[in-house]
Amino acid sequence: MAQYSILADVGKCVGCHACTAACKVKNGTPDAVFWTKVDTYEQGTFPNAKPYTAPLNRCMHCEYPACVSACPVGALSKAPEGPVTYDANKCVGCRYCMAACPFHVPKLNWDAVLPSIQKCQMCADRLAADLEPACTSVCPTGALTFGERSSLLTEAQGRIQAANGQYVNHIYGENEVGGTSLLYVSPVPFEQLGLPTVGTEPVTKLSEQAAVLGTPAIAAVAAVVLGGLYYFTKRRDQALARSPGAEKGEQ
Amino acid sequence: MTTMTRKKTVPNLFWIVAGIVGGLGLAVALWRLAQGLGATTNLSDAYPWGFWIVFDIFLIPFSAGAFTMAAIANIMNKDEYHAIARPVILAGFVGYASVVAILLLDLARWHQFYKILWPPYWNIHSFMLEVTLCITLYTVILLLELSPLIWERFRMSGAQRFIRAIGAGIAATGIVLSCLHQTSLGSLFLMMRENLHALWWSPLLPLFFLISSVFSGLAMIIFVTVITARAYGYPERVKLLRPLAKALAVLLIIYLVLRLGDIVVRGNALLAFQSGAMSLLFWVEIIVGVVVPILLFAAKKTRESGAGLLWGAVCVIAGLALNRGSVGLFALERPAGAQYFPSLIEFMTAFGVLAIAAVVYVLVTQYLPVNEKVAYEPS
Repeated sequence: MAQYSILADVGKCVGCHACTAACKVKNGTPDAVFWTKVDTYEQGTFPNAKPYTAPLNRCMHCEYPACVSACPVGALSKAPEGPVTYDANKCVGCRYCMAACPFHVPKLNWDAVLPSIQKCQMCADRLAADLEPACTSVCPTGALTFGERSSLLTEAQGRIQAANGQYVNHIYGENEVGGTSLLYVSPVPFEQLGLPTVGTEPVTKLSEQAAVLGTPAIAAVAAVVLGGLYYFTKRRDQALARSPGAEKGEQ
Repeated sequence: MTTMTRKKTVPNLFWIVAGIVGGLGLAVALWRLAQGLGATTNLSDAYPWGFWIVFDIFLIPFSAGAFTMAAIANIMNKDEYHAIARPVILAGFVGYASVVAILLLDLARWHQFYKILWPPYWNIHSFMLEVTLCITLYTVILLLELSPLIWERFRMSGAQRFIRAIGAGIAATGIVLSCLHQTSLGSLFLMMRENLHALWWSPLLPLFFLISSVFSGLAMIIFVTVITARAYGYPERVKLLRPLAKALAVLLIIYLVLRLGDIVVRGNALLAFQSGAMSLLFWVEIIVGVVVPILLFAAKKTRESGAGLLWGAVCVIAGLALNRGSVGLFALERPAGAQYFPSLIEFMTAFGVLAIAAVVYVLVTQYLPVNEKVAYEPS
């Protein structure tokens, strides 16, 4: 099965907001909630400040998603084709996904009485119908490109080279937290875009090992230690009780 | 057999204050369920977890006194501790019941809470699942451990014998569940490697949370026993606390060595001095919550006085509150400019739940044989 990604090229974004609008229309997101949004930033200091725009603040669709691993009820899941999707019918609203995400992506529509998690689904339903996501389908400049992850990585490398050193020599998302299905290339350092510097090891690895191996190990060790203590102290007390005039065991 | 030694009763002021705080808390809790989280709390996308989560991850290790007590009395067979076990287990129960209440209020989609208890939905990788399941089961275990209060009060000797027969088994199950969820509370934050400040994030978080729950549990036993000994007049019980204080000091030393050693080994020693407010927070936690109580409990003079024990326990509990506050709230990285201070409703519900817990504690203590000297026959 093909594994899909979205390549976001900050240098090509002209700030037309077509992706923002297409996403809102397609997904009918609540007021003031955006699954993708074009933000305006300034690089440099006045009077040499240069404005630029970028489609940021959107789900990275991690290969090893913290939110999916965190969710107690399986409301979030990672499809093999790439999208990390959310099912409000399962969600209890514990917001562990929001706390666990290394990119601070999942949001909540706080104004609702029974809110739900708000984040990009990579138009998983459109993907199933052989259509590309709404946002990439309307981007006029190639700032958002949809495709297979392997070919987009090659494309991203090509764009970095074609920029003649104007771009940061790094594809953000290639290896971040184990790789993501959203890839960024940019003329602006990623940190300034609010994309944090993170390690390459999946954040889920340690946690999942602890859950699958640690949990039974702790239960087993606790049970053995308890049993041992119980029989040891019982036998010691009985031995003390048999010796004449003995006091109860003090510490 | 039983000596009715209720020497003092609770002052009327308690009932008035607890009644008002509890009643208001209940009212705003219903308001929160009806209006949603956004309308009633100051939580936001930058602060998805706030005061209520800190309240939970503090109260769970605080209530660990119950499992520590069960380990001492039922597993290590120190029968003399059965005299102080019941007030402690009761305090543990009202603590866990408070946690469950606040957890439920904290769920944005509380109308679907039952799905977390329903196996087809379970994600076994999630520590949120493990914590929730263990806490729910453990609350039931505590209820079973307290059930002799009912059987004794109403002279139901059959049930009494049955519970006594399976007593060690219930206690053991409770202890295993406690070890699991106290470590899992720490494991909740394992995934936040990128977000949690390096003075608190560590692969050893589960171990730190377990050790701190045991020493906080001991501090809670000391706290509850000294307070009830004074309130209801059982001064002789305080003597039982001296060996516990000694054990507490040993655990605190182990914890201190592990915490500092872990920071040094992972190459973060300089962060302890270069992180501004975070460094300050870290040192206040370590000094107030660990170093001072080690000194207090290691000295024979303070260990053998009720006031010394109480102060040591209060320091440990304050340090625990700071630690859990840091891990759950203060030391987590936020988007620039984000701020959070709990809303009045967040405070009112939390204190309301505590007030109701206190009322339940006092009522059960007054009407059921919590403090009566039960002739305990070791089986």
